[in-house]
Amino acid sequence: MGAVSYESVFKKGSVSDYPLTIRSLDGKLTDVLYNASVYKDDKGNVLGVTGVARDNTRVKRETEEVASTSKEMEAFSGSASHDLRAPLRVIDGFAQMLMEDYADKLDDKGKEIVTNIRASSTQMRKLIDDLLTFSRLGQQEIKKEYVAMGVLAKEVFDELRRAVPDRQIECNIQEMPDARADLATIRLVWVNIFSNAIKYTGLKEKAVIEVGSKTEGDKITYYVKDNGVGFDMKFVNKLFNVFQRLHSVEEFEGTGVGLANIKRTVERHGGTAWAEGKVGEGATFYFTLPKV
Amino acid sequence: METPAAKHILLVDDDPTTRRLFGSLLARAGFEVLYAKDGNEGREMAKRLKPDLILLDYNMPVMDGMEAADRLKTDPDPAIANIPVILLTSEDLSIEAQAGIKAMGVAAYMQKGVSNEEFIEQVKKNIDMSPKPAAAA
Repeated sequence: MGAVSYESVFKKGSVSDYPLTIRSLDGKLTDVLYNASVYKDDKGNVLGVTGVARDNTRVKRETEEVASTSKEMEAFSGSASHDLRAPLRVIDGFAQMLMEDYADKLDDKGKEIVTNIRASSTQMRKLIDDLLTFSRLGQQEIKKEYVAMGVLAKEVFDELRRAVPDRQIECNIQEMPDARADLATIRLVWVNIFSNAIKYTGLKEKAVIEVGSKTEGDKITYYVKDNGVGFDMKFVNKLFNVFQRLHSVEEFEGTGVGLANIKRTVERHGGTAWAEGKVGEGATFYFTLPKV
Repeated sequence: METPAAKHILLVDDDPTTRRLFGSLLARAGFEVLYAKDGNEGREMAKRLKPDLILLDYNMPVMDGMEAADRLKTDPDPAIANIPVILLTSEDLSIEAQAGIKAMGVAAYMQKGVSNEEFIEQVKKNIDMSPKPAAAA
């Protein structure tokens, strides 16, 4: 290996970042990147070679670590998540049977206990499903195409709206520029953003949701503003972390993965996501995508 | 009056807790349940006992659901090939996979995460509940 790189220095005049493994006198092996060039006299005769070997150990190790983490995440996305979900399905299935078949033998306290068992196992199933989505979002390839954001946003909102027919919700979606994005994952961003807007305005008699965009330089910023329960800006940094929630499951159901999904997807597209909120007045969620 | 003989259902799944849940649900609904833990055992039991419906788990060691389904559906004995088969999956199937199992003759598929009620409903939808004619003399 060393001889080959040495020869190519003479042939091409230089070599850069050539990966080598060198052995020191005490036998220790080190991964390096070899950079070298020839030096010549006034007449252009090659006099010799100057070379520098840069220690590449840390970079090589970190690259391998990332690759192995990727593989672990892939394993989770695959069979592990099913192995985690199956027993929870069984717990819920039997708990339901207990409630139904032994209703006359269970007093109120007994029924409450079984209800708690079902609630916890259902929560855990949701967590695993969301975590699976989250890990997949980091794995799958992004396929970019032109996405009519206004049309997509309306489609997603209408779909979610149908699930809550009794609620009063006013949603204004302004005209928005197209984006170049992976349709499936950007759709999920809208699903998560609208789900939150609808959910956290649940206590208001009339929910008002505004959707729009702003083009600044080489970025398009899309936003969704709601008049819901809002949040304290003190905790804005926690908002987008996985499993972080600012409200309890009793106040608002959820697993705390929705915003993390948004952030991960948007960042994979080269954009950013952030939020602003005021307790009791509402919140606005922003995400940017590079201009088409 | 004679009570009609209970329908037999063969449940093939490598996970014991899943077998327990689905087995209990089926028994509760009045079915007789037979158990196998992989495709090989399942196919062998199907040929021997000729159940009225077969539930096959998609992912199993030794022989998985797809291969077992294929072998059952292409069995030369029509009594075997005609037994309705339902595939049990962990996730929803792609359009291609759905077309594939349909072409194979699989009656239906359902995700293992469906509710207790839906599970029994799917089984009842695909099983022939009419009493079997007496064996030919």
